[in-house]
Amino acid sequence: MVRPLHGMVVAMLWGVEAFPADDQSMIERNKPDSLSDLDDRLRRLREQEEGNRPAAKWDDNTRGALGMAMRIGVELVAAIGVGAGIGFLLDRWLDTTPWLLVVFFLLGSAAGMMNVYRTMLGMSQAVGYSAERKLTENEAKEQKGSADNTSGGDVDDDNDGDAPRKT
Amino acid sequence: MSEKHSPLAQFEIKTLLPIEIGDADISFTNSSLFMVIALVGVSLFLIMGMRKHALVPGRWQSMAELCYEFVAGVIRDTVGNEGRRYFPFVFTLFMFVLFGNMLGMVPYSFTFTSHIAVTFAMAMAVFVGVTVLGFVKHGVRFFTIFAPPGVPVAMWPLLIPIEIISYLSRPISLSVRLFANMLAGHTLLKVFAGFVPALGAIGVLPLAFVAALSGLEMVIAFLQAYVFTILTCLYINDALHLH
Repeated sequence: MVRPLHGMVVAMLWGVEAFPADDQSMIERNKPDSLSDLDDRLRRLREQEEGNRPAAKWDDNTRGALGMAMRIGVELVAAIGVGAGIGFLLDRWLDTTPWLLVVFFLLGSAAGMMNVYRTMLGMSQAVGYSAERKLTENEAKEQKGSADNTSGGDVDDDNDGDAPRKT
Repeated sequence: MSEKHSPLAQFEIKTLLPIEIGDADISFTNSSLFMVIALVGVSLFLIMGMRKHALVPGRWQSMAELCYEFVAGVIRDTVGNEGRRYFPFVFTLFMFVLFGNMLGMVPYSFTFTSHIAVTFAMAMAVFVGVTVLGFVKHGVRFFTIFAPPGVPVAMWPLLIPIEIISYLSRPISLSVRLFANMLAGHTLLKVFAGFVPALGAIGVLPLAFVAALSGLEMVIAFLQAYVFTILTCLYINDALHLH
């Protein structure tokens, strides 16, 4: 809440010195005012941008198909490898030789599929099915954001970038 | 073909300064040398670039600012405002990986990011750091990250192991992606370069291909640094905002 306070201070200074002594002082006062005005506008724009940002989105358009293929392969293999590894170690520890390896290999494959699915959605690697939820939330927010811009109101439900645009 | 021309010879670790403490071999190798070069390079690039702090930046300063703004933008887009405090870590990681990859494109140099030992160490640092961050922020509630919301309790015995495996596979996929890209790219370059003298006059064709491939490798070098950074940011985001 620095900005509105700052604006108030500037306004108070203006109120106190309502009668400029000469042109020079007028220019002197005008300069910081226009600078702070620019600052103000920049900050407001930035906050607006902040409110409209698509959260936690992986932009796949910037990368080629090769990178995508590589990523998919690695995701799948890594999860299967981790699953098989856990199964193998548990088997050695508990002396249940093939069974846990089989079970964890299958679980690892499932995890790998899920990783690939999440990657293909282009969403964050958020564990859980939050990918779809986040997507719809973002879309709703984006739509709301664009509606905001046309109506000029500020109904941002985001907990952080809540910019009161009073001025 | 002699051993010297093997496409994999470039990844050989050579001990430059043997150091041994007890049984641990912590010799200063060519890999360590290039890590030090990357570190010094990044420091010089940023410190010397920003030395003048000009309001209107020169070329060098603008490159330094570009790096800063790029990483800041990635963090803002993925984590949001709360991500700011992790900027130093993410920026360091990005610059180190980027310089490592780019140094690898210099002929006769060594690419330390083509070794799984290096990338896995970095991935583990990210993984452990993010897990600790999640516990610090949410305490025991961090475990709810393994139980997807809206799933019936009857499915938990099946889903929670899957989620845990998926979570544990993060450092593996993070490190393998970087190391495999670097290893494959550099090996491919060397293999095609080997065709140039072997084919004589027709060697112009593989030469042209190597030239094109070098450009592609430059792109991949940057892209992999970017991917490493953005995934780190996504993991931080997941740890900060559970579901």
